[in-house]
Amino acid sequence: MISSSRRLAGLGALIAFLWGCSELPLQPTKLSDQLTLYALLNPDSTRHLVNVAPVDASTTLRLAEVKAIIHKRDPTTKGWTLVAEWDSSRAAAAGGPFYGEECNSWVPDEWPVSLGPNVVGSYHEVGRYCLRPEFVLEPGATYRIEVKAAGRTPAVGETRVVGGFEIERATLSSTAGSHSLDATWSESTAAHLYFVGMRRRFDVCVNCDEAWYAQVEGTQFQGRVPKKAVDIAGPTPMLDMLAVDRHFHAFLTTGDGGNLHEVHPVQNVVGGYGVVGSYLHRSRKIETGGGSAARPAGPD
Amino acid sequence: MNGLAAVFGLASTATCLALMPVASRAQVPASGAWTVRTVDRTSGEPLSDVLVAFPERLATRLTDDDGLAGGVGVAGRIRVLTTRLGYTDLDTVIVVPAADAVVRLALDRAAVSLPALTVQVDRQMTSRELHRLMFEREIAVGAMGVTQAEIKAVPALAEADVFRSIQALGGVTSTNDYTGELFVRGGGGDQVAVLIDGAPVFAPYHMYGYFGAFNTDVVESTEFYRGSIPARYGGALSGVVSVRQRSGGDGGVNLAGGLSLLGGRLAADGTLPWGGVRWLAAGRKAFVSLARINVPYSFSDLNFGVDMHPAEEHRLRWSLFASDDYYAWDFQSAGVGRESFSAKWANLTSSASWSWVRDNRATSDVTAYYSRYRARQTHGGTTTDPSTTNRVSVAGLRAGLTLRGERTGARAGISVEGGPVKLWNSGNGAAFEGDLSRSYRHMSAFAEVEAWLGPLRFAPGVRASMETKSGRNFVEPRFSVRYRAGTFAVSASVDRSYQFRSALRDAYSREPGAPMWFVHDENQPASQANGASLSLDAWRGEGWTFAAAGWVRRFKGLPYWRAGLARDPSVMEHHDGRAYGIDVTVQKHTGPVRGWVSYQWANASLDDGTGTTYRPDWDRRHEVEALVTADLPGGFGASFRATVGSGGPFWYPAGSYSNFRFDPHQGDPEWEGAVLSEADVFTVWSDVQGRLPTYARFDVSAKYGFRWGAWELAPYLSVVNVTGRNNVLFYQSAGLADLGPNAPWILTYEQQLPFLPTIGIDFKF
Repeated sequence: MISSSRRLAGLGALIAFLWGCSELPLQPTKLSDQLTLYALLNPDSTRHLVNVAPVDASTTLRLAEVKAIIHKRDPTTKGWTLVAEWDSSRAAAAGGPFYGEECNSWVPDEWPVSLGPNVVGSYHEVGRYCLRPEFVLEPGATYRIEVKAAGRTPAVGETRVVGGFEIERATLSSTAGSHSLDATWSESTAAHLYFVGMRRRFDVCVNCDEAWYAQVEGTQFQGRVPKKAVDIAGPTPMLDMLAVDRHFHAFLTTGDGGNLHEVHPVQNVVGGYGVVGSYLHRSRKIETGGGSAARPAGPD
Repeated sequence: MNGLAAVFGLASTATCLALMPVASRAQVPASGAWTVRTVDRTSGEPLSDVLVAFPERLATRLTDDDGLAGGVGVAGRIRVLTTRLGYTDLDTVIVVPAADAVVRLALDRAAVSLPALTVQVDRQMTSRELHRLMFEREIAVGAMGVTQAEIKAVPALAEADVFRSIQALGGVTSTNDYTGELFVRGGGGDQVAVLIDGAPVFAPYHMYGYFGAFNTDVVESTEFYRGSIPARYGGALSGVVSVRQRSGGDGGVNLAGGLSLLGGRLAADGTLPWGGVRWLAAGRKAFVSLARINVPYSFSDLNFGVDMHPAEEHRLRWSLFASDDYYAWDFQSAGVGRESFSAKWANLTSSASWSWVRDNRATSDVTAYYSRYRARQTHGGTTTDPSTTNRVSVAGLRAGLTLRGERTGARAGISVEGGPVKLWNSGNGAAFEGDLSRSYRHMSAFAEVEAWLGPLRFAPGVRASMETKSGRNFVEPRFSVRYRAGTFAVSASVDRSYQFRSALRDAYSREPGAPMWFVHDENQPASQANGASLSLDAWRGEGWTFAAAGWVRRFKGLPYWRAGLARDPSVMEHHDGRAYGIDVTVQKHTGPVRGWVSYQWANASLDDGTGTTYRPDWDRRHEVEALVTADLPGGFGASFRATVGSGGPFWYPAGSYSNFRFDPHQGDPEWEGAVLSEADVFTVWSDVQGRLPTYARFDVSAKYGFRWGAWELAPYLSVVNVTGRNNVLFYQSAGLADLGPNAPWILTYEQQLPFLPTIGIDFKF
């Protein structure tokens, strides 16, 4: 026979349990040993961004631990030729093919330092490196970039370097509130396709509107442009174009962090995350004319 | 012992006969005893094999070839119940006649609702009656019925809900408060087929799964199969929920409905003045604006049904169900600006069936059905934003024949089903990358046999099917056996099932919202489940039942993503797994205080093919459910539901990375004319899982029923999570940027349903 006091105690324990909160916080027991690798080869430049960072952003990646190797595929033998190699012992050597520096973001933007409490993961200001190898790229050639760091899984990816191209014409015509862009350019070797967009201008970007752009496989764009894109292009609108290889294109056009679900982008880095791709950037002032509404507005 | 009481195909109206001591056939009345004679009211012919029960004496009889069965009792009044396939049940009280007298009981013919094994259930049937009926009809372990009263007894947010009520039953698991999805016998949610009048419903939920899409006012009964599924059902590995819509009302127009914070619903039924055509029409409309998450959301559903008997032995039935959901959420996201997420999906199903009760030993049925599903989820507010689209249009035809004899029976049927199942993405950031659009044509045949061998009842069955587009064949054996003695029975089932239509599922990151269905192509294995289960059922009179079941299952070829990368069809994995567990339920069916207590222990694991074993998110190890419904004086009633369970598994984050967008803009300090900007941050998951804290929730509801003129009104109050316990929905990392290098990850959590009271009123006119 259970006494009344015990019954009450049991009931009290049950109520306390039902009212109780869940225990917090928890600490992950295992963090990733993988690397993120963002390497974009630009044939216009002899310095190329190779960004390496730990996936586990709570640990520091020391520059002295980082090793990077770049190979080029021989088109006839299909073998790989070493283009450059760098490790900690060579880091101190003056005139080496690489120099490393810490960087927050290899593609500067307005990304806030603090992401707030509701975003999964974040960045540290330490341990993320922009390695800038200096060598001349051969358009159409395939390069393989591999990064290693002590105690971490190597990350490697390949890309075929796009060739040079020039914007030949860019004209914006406006009629009765309707805007049309006509642009042509020369072909870029090995380009998967081209991004064609009007540059946004802003002094302070708070909750910026998305940039307008089009993806074009050929060498010409003729089509309408949203009024908002024209409005935020400023008084001297600029055409920005990017020729990209297929890996970089896939990376740019897939994936969504979202607030309700996460869809990872398509990547080509084996052993880690990120992309090894190639791009070439071109811009040109857009000629305006035609119609009564050929007036690009000022900044937002 | 003669078990003809449970001959194969005993599909008839509600009885409370079945679990009494097994009937003996044609007991010759002793000299001086009185006798019951059952006859066909129309023809006057004697009826054999009528189950005659005297519940007060816990005695049953079967009539002989002359329609005779011995009576029980020597004086006074006694309740008599009869049941026989093809005839309306009789429940009456008679005065015990003098010795040697014969009491004539005339039975009305009634069409048997088909498919052949589908019971026609009065919506007011008690849980005990339906429990008994299903027990008698189905030998497979885990088969059960759910009454409308049981559905409405479970305290719910806003409105009673079929799926929420089933979640409260033993052997069923849910993953969190926000989904009514059913996880049965260690299987995933897309492994449970949901049917309404035989037609599949691909998204039987409203509001991202929180509410079931079936209006409880039109639900006549729900059959639920857990794990072991009869051979007449195919295409589902772990369970079948077969909802039968009411066929209409008697007499003039009857109205029923309700108002709640969710919205309003109204159902009307009646009988047309000509041809005895019964009809039903119902609708529900909701506008939800939950202040807590500021989500504008609307949904609606419609039901129509017609039921008629063009001839005495024929029955025609048509039903339609349609639902529609629309959801749009605009929000501001740090660093990105305005974002929006919208989703809409709609079901449309319709079925028409013809049933023919040729005689007492043969019934047949033919059902044609069509089911359409449209779903689109868009991250963004324009047509060019990334979206995932699912379009399913399935049509099918099914025919069945049931034959029954004294100690054996057989049931066989064929079906063909097919149509396009399109699933594709567009733009950057859809739920997956690629196109999984396919069509299929599935032809199936099934056979079930049942035979009594002494006290054992055997029910072997097999289902054979062929996917004509890929040329693959599937054979699914199903076998059940039951031993019954006195007031307990032991049943066992072994079975194999295949499933070739699955919903997208990422084992790491759960995609919310409407399920996205696809058909396995010829290069993908069909998902397979092999299982065995054993159950013990016992009962005590009309009031109490006890059921315990143990089960073990193995899965093969479950299509999941776990790569933590792009959800590309080319990297879709096919996982194997195993699950085992036990569940025990004690239920009290009668009296002013009713309810059940169930306990489940389950263990489910999957293997990703690389040797890595992980726990799916429905692997809730222990779960106790208790539901108590009390009829209080003065028209008041109250229900209490308590759920305590192990926390579900979750994946620890192991890191993150970001992606970029093409975004030409001016003002870049380092790179003139920058054309890229960082966009989103993605979680890199570890292969280490943890468990959420213990889950506990206590819900209550109170109702007061009264008459107001011709109206029956029942206002109610429901409170979900009455203690306001912080049950963890999921963890997320936070604060790294502020903490600096080498700082620990801090996991914060999102809460499941908070303390949430709702009010409403049900009415009948």
